[in-house]
Amino acid sequence: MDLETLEPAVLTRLLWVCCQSADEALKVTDLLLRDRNLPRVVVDLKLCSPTELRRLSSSGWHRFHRLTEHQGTTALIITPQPLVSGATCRVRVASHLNLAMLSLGPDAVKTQLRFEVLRTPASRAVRSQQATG
Amino acid sequence: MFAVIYLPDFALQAALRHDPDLWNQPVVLVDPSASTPRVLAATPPARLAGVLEGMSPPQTLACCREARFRHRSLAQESATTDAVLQVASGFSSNLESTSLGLITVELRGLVELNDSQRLPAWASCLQGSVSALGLRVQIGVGATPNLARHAALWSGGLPVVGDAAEFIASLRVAALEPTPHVADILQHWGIRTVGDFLALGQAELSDRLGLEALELFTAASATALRPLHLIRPAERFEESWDFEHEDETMELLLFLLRRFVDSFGQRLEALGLAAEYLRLPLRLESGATLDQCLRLPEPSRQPDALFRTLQTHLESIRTETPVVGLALSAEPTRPRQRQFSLFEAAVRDPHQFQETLGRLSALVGPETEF
Repeated sequence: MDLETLEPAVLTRLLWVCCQSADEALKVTDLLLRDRNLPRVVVDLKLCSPTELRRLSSSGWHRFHRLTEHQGTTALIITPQPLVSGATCRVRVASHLNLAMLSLGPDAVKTQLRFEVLRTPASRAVRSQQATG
Repeated sequence: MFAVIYLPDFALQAALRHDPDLWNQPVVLVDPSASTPRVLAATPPARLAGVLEGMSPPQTLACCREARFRHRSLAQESATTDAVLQVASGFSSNLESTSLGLITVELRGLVELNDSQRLPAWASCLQGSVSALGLRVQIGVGATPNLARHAALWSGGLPVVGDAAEFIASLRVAALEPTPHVADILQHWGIRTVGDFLALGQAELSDRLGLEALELFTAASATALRPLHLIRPAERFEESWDFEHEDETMELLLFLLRRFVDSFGQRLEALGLAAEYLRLPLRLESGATLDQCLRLPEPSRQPDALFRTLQTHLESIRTETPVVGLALSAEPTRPRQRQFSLFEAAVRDPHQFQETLGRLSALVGPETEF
């Protein structure tokens, strides 16, 4: 996210926390999800190494899932590979952007983005019924 | 009508206010500023053991080996007076700080007391509010300040004086506080009650006892009115505590701070104010003071919100030496009223958000939040 492109009115409602590691990011996420004041929480882990991400405990994702359900918060977790077990919805960025795209404006980049929905709430419900059946 | 708030053993109550368990132990109060320290007051267990006012510390220890000494604290007494005045101002704005531990309240103009049947309930409510500050209080209500004072000091649980003449006559002569010499004379005469005293006649008593008889008659008056020296309660919210031994745990600090903020909440509500800043200086054993001014996300008088702010702050600090004393003060302001526009949403719980920011700062450092 480029902070300089955001309107001041948006910035007054944005809390940005820079973390040193994935583990620290998860601790911060836990605090933010428990706060009940933040309707959206975005966790960007895409620059973390796969080794570091694999070391994360899967129980943490389940805890986040319970917290978001309980507090009515939406959590968007960005990872370089499918990682969050129990996610309600999983989306993959299908488009491949190169460095040249950086010279274009944000609106032009948005037109190039393609998303692939891997999991929706409906498909998750079907899978859980199959598992219990 | 007038009401009097009387705090017996005021200096001792002020010293033990934040540690009420000490009332069940032999504790004596001494004045550290006196050249020869003497016992100023003692708890009931110490009195049972034979401790009397005026005893020296060695005499006290000879009577009661387990006696614990506490120093009189003028700061605690001032804070206690402030607290009682602030709570009383929630009942009537006409207040007089008559003397230490004695506050006179004028009830004129109180709509809820138009019906005199409500007086006992009103007095009970006032007593409950002052007791909530951790104080033992006696309330007296009467037609004159003098009558209300006698009722508070001597009525023994019957706060509202009905028949003034009968009530005054039933009091013991000691209620008029005669000098020891005159008290002896009256005792030799067989005068036990104020009624016996008044029956002797003012002129006859003046001939025999001199001017003091006139003062005693004035003290026994059930009709004399005097103008009160009205004051406004100071908008000052301060509490402090010095540990007997250095404290290395946070539980005791939090316990005391909870008491402080409970008191602040009650007093702020009585004055219609809210706290905007909290200042928490911690005195360390090394002699240094760790002073922190905490700004609340929005003015509040909710004890839970104030306490959470302090707790989060304490969790984020480390001291090299134990804490030997602490103080807490709140800077009051008017509660903020805001009208939001149609699509504007407020933070649901600003105090929780402030607490979260504090925890985030402790976790990742203050420079990593934007």
